[in-house]
Amino acid sequence: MLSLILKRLGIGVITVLAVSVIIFFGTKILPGDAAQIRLGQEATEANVAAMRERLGLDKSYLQQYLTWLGNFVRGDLGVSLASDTPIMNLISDRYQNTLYVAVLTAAIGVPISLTLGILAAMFPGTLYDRILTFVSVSLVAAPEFFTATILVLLMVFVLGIGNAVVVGSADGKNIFQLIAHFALPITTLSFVIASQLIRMSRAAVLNVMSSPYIEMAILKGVPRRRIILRHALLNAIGPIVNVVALNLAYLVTGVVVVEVYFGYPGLATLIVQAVQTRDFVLIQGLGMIFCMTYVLLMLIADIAAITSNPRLRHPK
Amino acid sequence: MSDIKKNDPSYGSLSYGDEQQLFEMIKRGASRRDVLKYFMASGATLAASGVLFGSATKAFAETPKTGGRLIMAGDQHGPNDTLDPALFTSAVDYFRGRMYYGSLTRLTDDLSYEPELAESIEANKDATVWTFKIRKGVEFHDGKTLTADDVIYTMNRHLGEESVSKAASLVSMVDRWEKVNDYEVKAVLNSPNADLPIALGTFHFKILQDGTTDFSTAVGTGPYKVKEFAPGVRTIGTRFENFWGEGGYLDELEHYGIGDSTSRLNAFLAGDVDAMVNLPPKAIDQVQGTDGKEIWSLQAGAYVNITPRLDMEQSSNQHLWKAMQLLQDRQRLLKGVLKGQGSLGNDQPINAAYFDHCPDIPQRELDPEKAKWHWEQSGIGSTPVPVVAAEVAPGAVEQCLFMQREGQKIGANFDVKKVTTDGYWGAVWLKEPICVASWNMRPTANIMMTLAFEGSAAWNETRWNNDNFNQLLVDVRGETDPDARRQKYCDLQTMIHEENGMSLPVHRNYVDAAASYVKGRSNVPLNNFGGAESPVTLWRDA
Amino acid sequence: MSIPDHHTHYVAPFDADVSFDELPDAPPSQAYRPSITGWIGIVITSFWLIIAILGPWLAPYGENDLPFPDDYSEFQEPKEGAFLGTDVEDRDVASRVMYGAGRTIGIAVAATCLAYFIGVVLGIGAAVSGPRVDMVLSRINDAFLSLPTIMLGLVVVAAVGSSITVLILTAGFIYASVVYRLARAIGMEIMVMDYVEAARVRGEGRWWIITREIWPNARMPLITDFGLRLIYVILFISSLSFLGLGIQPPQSDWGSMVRENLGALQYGTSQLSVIAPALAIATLTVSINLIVDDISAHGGGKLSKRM
Repeated sequence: MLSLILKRLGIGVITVLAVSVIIFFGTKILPGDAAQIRLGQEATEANVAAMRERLGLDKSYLQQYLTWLGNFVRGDLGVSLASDTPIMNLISDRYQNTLYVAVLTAAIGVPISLTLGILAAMFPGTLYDRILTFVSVSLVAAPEFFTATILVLLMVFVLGIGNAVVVGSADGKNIFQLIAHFALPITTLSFVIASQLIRMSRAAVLNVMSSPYIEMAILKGVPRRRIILRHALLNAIGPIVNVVALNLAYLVTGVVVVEVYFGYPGLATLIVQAVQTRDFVLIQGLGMIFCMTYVLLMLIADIAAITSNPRLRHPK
Repeated sequence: MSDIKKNDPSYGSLSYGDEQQLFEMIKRGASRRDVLKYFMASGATLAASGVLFGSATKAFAETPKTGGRLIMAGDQHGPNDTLDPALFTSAVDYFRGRMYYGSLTRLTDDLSYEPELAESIEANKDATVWTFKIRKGVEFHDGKTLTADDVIYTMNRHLGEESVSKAASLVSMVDRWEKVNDYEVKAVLNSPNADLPIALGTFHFKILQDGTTDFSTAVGTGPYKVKEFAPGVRTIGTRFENFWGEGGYLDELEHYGIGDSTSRLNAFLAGDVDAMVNLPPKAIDQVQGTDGKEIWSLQAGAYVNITPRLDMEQSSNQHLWKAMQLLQDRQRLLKGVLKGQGSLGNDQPINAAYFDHCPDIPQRELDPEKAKWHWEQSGIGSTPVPVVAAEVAPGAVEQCLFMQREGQKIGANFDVKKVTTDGYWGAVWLKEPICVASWNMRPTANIMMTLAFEGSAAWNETRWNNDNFNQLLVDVRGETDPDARRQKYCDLQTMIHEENGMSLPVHRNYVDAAASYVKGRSNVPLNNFGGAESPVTLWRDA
Repeated sequence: MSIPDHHTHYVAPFDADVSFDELPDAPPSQAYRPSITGWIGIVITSFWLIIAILGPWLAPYGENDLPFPDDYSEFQEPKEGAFLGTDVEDRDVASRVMYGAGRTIGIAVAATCLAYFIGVVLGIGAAVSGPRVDMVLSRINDAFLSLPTIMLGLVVVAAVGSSITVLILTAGFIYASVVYRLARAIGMEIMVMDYVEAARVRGEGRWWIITREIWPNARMPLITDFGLRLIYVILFISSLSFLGLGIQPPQSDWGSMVRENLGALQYGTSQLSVIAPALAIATLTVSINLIVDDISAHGGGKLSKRM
């Protein structure tokens, strides 16, 4: 089992390395000169040349890449071109904001969605199952900003709950105050991930239900609820954990529209700003952070799956 | 140069009847513009009327209450937000600058100036040497006292070839700054400039402490000190107890960026923020119909335009840009897009909000017939004409789309390419053959035309270069005869209207919104939030 | 981007154990006969396909035309001459939905086809090639998967400028990595089947195995996933539109229509300009899903369904 986990870890490291190559050389292809961006339009030729030297842009791409990677390993992501601030300073507060919302959404949205999905799997083909399937499909179809607007109109203007944008600091708030603070983004994101989680958990359980040993149990006359809770669910944990991990990765890295819409300063809005200001160094840093988050979450999901499923512990 | 000191309010000459009329109008809630119109009709100059209004409203102003906090929602913001005044680029920067810093002069609602950190300002006879006496006992946030060294250090950052200042062109006629003594400095100019104190009241000339190089925080003389500054997110200022002057009434003033206009409006209506910039004009009715929410609108000379580069193959075709001017659906932009919050543009930048506006140039209208004739003459036919646009201001994209729609009817094929807003100024503007721009109002017609229409100006969008125009622009700065001055400014504006090539279909007001308890709003028509001058005067009525 | 693409199918930790939720675990052996819900899906989808093709001819106005050129209002209630009312620029909502249908569905289909072409060729290729090729391709693919789609989209589109071609290519390449993963997993699953082993032992060539054994068996799960992938592309483009990088005005597509008329929900006299395109996306999605679910159920025939 340990060797399996080590192998996963190795694959993760290789993935991060591959991403670093893609990100570094990808941003090199983009139009725009980092030194020029750093100095602004009015900069003279001589100043730009001096800045290029200072930023090490006069060296070969390979040298630049190795320097950059070396710094990254040491935890130094460089200095933002647009604001002359270390990337780490720009990212740290925002990472915290993003994590607040991701963790709270996961804590609230995931259990509800999974319960609904598993219930649907327990009663497949019933009215409840059909309605739930229909609603979750419709939710997939709604653009996030549409869901967000409807929720703002309903919750803030009709019911008077929550804030239309997330203003003010989250610092020093307890868990309930945080939920109120982030009420609207959490609700919107819960809707977004719910449709996925409901469908996936239902499908995962149904999938296990069709395996031979469950069929055996059914033929032996074991009650349906017991089959699902005792046998099917345990075996569906692997896939479900995986879906949850993917959703967490999405909550950390992919919520651009929701962050922009609710104006809360998280990582995703930083990408938009980095792209708009052509801040290559910031784009590189964010790309690496996102990639590592993803790889880490997948690794955790893998380990969870391996430990929960005896068959995976001893692969053929 | 007799009326250099426009700041002396002297309305003693008003008849009793006029005075009553003025007070009546203001009591009924007349805007500055209404008052100006009334008095200009009766022969007063714009500047004088403005002073009248300012003084009269002060008489009615409520006594500011101290305490509380306000959150003001801005729009454009990003990691390039800065605390270095020389590098300010956006309304967000300007507002923040006003919170934390002071300047030698302060612009007033009628676009003249008052002394601020300077106690008095005097010029020699031909306005080539300006002397500033510095106010004594002004304290920086760190307790140091303001002296001439601080002023000299600040001003030198805007001088010379190597200066990174975004506003260097406004003081390019200054040869050097000299320290007379600890509380007096002198600016020695290469050529006369009667408007120097006005230029020094604009956003970039905020006074720093001598030797400042670290801009991670701001140690200024402003009414608020930095509590938090997060680029691209927010800034929070707390009251500076030792502020030398009137103002800084709030315990805390926060400026928060919300890029999306729908979100910003929602936040404002829900009460999450107390004021917002750039209210979508189409939401004006809704805000006005909501209890406790008010429009904060400033009539101004700001504008959006489409600029063809006259030094490039296709766009230099004068029949092309003449057709473009005649294809502008000005009425629809004003009534449909801006909902009346603006005025018709006439392809030149100086509208009625400026003192030197020339009312004699006939208004150019949508005229497909004439446009068609020009189009045929241009020989472009159905070849696509690329036009790059971004939502840099209300109407900026629409002006292109409307032109495209009208163009289709006469067989012109405008290919409108919409790009992102930020990064636009660096990557597209001044570079593409035809693109859009958005301009804020400047305090004087001369500053406006010097910045963007003088042949060698860095921001000369169309690269139009007319020697007569350039010469006249310098001459008029020294012109003291009112009639000759008026004629010269009319000539300048006519030249732009006829020859510059840009389409300027509409001037827009600054349309913001504020909750009714947000008091002490300034009305300097140079930018949003009262020309970004409001941080000093804002207070909260319970 | 609303929903990360990799959500449509979960990715199990071990490829040999991969199984696909909505997908049949065996290809259907007989012709597909739709159930009632299947038929509903087919009718609605066909309706939108017809609008997509004939939209420009059916629309009463051009997509940038003004039905009422003499007034300067917007978000008008439905009335004669504009049966769904007007939008933020006072244009006819119905005409724009019809024009938008072609562009929305067209871009989605083109991008998804591109994603499938790249993904399936490389995915099946990886499955039948040796472990080394598979290892290299899969690690590169993992790298792309680990970057958020919206970030890739933003960077690329912001750098080269938005046009329909750029949107199709960007979405196509981004989603190719998801399709690759799916195609490879299906290919792997089939490769270890007894009948493929048998073919190998018989000494059949690689190409023979791909065309005769793998493709017929991988076809159905891939086709069902295709429908879902379309929806994600539509949402992806609409997210880019939200950030100002999608379809260029005055062209319409459903996602950007929702975006540009969003203000109507707060201050419009009529909200149809935002509800109509949103409903269009929803009905298309639901109907495609109905077909997909119907096909999967048809192919499944599992004991669990009979319980």
